Amino acid sequence: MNGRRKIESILIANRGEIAVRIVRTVKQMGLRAILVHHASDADSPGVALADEAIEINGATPVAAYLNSAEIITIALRAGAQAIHPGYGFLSENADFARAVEHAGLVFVGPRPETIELLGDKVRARNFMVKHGFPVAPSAIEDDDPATFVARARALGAPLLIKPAAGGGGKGMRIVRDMASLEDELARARSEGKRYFGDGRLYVERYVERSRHIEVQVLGDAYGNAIHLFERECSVQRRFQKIVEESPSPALSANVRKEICDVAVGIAREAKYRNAGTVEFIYGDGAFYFLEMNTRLQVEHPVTEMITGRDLVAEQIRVAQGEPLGYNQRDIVAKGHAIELRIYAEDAARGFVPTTGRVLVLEPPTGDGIRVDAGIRAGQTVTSAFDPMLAKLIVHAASRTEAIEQARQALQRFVLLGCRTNIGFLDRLMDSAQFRAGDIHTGLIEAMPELAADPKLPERTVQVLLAAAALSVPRLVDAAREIPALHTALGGWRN
Amino acid sequence: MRRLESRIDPLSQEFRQNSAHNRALADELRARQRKVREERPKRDLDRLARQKKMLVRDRIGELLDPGTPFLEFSTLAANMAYEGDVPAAGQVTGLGIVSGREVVVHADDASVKGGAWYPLSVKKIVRAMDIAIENQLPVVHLCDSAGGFLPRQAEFFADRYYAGRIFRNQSILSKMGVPQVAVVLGHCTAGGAYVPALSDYNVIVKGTGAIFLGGPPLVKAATGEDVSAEELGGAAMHTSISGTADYPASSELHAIAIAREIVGCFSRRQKTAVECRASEPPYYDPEELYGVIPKDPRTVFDMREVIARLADGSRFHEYQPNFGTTLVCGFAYIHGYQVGILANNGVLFSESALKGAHFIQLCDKNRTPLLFLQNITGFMVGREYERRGITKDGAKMIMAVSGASVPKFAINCNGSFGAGTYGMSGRAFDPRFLFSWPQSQTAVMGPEQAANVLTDIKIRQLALEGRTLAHEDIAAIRDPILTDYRRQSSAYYATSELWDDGLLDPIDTRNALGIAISAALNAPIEPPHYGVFRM
Amino acid sequence: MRETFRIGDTEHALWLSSSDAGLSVHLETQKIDADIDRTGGVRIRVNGVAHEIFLVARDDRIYVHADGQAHEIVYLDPVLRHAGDDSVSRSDHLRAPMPGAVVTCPVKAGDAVEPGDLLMVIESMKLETPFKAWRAGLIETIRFTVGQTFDRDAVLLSMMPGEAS
Repeated sequence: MNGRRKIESILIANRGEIAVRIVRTVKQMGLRAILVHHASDADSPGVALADEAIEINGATPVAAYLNSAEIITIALRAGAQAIHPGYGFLSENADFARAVEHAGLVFVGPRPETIELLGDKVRARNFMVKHGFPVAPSAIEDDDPATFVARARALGAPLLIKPAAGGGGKGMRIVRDMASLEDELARARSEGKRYFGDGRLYVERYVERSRHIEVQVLGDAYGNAIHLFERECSVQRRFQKIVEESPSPALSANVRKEICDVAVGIAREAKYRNAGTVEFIYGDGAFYFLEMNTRLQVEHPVTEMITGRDLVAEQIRVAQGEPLGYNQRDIVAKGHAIELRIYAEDAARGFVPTTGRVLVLEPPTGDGIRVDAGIRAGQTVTSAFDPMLAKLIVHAASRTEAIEQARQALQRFVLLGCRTNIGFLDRLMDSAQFRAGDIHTGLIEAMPELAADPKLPERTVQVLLAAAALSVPRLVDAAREIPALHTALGGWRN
Repeated sequence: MRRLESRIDPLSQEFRQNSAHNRALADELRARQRKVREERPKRDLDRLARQKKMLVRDRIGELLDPGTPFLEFSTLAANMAYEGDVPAAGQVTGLGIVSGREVVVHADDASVKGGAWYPLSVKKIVRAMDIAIENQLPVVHLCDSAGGFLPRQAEFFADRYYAGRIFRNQSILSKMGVPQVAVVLGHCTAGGAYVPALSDYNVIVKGTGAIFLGGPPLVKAATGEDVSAEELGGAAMHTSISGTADYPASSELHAIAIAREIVGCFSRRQKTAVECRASEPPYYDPEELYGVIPKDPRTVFDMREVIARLADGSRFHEYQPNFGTTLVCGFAYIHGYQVGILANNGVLFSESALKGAHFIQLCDKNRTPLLFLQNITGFMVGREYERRGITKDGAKMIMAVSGASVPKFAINCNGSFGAGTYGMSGRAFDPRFLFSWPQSQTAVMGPEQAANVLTDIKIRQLALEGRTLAHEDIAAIRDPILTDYRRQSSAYYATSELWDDGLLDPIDTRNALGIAISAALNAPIEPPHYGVFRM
Repeated sequence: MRETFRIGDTEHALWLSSSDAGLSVHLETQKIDADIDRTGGVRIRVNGVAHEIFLVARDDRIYVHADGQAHEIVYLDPVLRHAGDDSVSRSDHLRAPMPGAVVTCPVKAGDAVEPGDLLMVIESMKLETPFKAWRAGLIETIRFTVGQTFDRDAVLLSMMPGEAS
């Protein structure tokens, strides 16, 4: 859609922390924020903050947020001019983007064609090869299904099997022993069919201690595209990101410029509109295109902290048809930012998801501390959705200071009633490897001792037991019921 | 209220000799109690382990609130009976705190003859239930008994205060609205089955607890029916089909936890209020009691020295200090409770008996509990005294003791003989609790006196037949009588026969009295009224 | 019987006493004098030393944030703690209180249930009775299916302790 289009109210089709974050910018821009939500999110902070909150249904809570037709109907009925899809859910669904535009609404994101091109991993990869951007050695099934397995085997172990229609780290399998290749391929195929409705696969060389570097890009409808520097997202567990930071401690100034320039090149070549992220694998001195995410990413606050830009505001401006209005020289990075994802997980018990009612929530505040929380006190955390509760982002002058600030903020982050990974994150920040910037995608697996609950000092145990004992009313009452004489005599026996 | 001035010298040789002597007696008491409480033949301990049963004292330990005292009664019951084979008469009874409430604990000791009830076991249980009734205290029964010891049934079955009295007492306690919980941790057979059945609440442990009027062997013999203990009277059947038991438990600890929760539901009644003030320890060290009590029980000493080491702040308000001086009367506080003390400083004369009767009435009107510190050989005898009415004055004192409505507590400090025992609230006069010190004696008269009287009779008898006895022959008659009397008037004999509620180390007396008084106040105090005082 | 609290995987036994001076917590090896001041934040004084903490209790779980860490302390009610002492009671049965027929049964063998979850609805004497899970556990077996009739005391369903794998 070209041309300017004034947007006065936006419907946000998402939940949790990103819903709050988008609603906040929408309102700051003087626009009206309409939020759809499932009944189980009725207590969420986004619902309280939005100008209007409309309940939406589905066979499951997740299905509600995937209900394209209903969402568009509600947007029209509520008088919204645009829909912001957030991340996940329908944000990279080209059909949805198309349906939104067909309904006469603005989709806050790239064009449907772009989503289709870059959302299909195989097509995206071919695009990169065609335009000379670096890609990892791989074998794509579609090229020649008959020889796929042989070509995969030829790549050599270790390999990474990926579903063509997948994303966000889901459905991927590492093969280290070639003997299990065919089995793993079969499993990956059935998973791909089950989760993404598409069993096509491709296989890439797996870089063992790779670093995941991604670049934030922004394009407008007038062919302008810039980058807002990189983010390092190597600290992961089972392909889920846990800690992101900018700038990446791994890159020299030259390599940094190279990667960012490649990312902008890709954006320009794809005529990319709105916000997007190009993800690279960096290892053994080289970097390869991994995938491009045609949406706002979870870790975007890291970029916002170092550049001082509001990416959601930029998205909305571009969606309205405005040109970027500034160029690459105007984007300056200052200091160091780290984001920590706070999950409802029990690190000591294999990171199993936890549930519970958030009884006390007191996030840390102060200069250089930002908390994007998707929950509020009194809300019950269930297993219906992704276990991410909040993001803690810190910004300081240097990486060392940022780590210190992160630790203090984590220790001051009070969330009681549901077990979280906050303790684990603090120990991670304190680890020698993280402090040294010696991070890679296998870091957490290589340090299982970080996940274990630390042994508590005697003094802490005493404080905890005393606090607990005094907080069980019937125990306190029972102690008070014992006659004074008998309490004074203690355990006397004749 | 002023502090008593002690007149003894703790550094004197007499004091130090007394002290050594009485400490040795106290040590002996502790050693004998420890043995009775803890030493068991290995085969009995092994049997309990095989049955997966806890020891009775461990059960009690789990039952009671942590950090609270337990006043055990009659630990040395049956110590001079059944050849000493039945320690504590196979029962543990006492006052304890469960879920904040004062209760009487009654527990079978399955490590002693399988918890079988000997005649003295029955007497001990009846006494515990009497204490519960008189003081209106809830009872927790920990049941685990093989039943009555049949070879001695004539001594525990048929009479009024024998075994039936246990069940009658349970019923009366229930009638009074005072609850009981029974925890069935083993077999409750025949009569024993009525302990849980007559308790307001009962808990039964699966696999080990059973309630039946006749056990499997008896049933087999009577009807030929073959049935296991669990099927006949186990937890599942009684809690879900017959309704005889209330709560099934999967282990002893589970059962005890349930029992504690049940007791925690008992409503707490308002206790009787008596004069109270803030407690303070005695000014004089209670350990000095060892030096105060003479090593020869016939030596006279001033009971005020005992009072000074029992009472709060050693303070004592003496009543009629110049009249009837062989009976010391006055007010004091023990662990903050006001008490009226009567203590003997010699034989009772008319004046002392009258003073005692009067003081008892004063305390009764004032709602002050009475504490009798016994050291009495009897009333004065002789022509002049009889003419002055010593008998009727003694009767007045006994009438007052019998009629007093306030709780009475008695300690046999040194000796308690003849009618003096009566006037000083001996066992028959229903003190709520009666304890003895290790050296104390109780008999109709002192051993030497008795031996002399009986020997004298013998000598006169022989003289009538024209025979005289040589010195050695007299000794041969006298000595066995003396030995026998000494044995049967000793504190250990009295406690063996359950003539008291236990022997106390003198320095434990203060705490025992505090607990006892607190327990006694769970019952109301009737208005004072008496029979006729022979004027 | 002492009270048991669990922190992580460790159980701690303690008991409380109360006097004019306040409350004391008696641990295995020592006695702690403690009091909590809830005016404006929570301050707990342990043996004279004050600690600023966050503290909230719900049911028998106590959540504390102290020394930069969140903790969960669970109070183990003594009756519940010892209830599973024998293996027999590890499996629980739902017995029919009267003869009837099964109307609905929304659970199946292997399902994990939480206290209060509906297990089965039966119909008897023209009245429907719902049965809810009395504790958390796994459904072991379901003996009667929808429409089937049963007698009084029949075992309708059995549960066992466990969590979904």
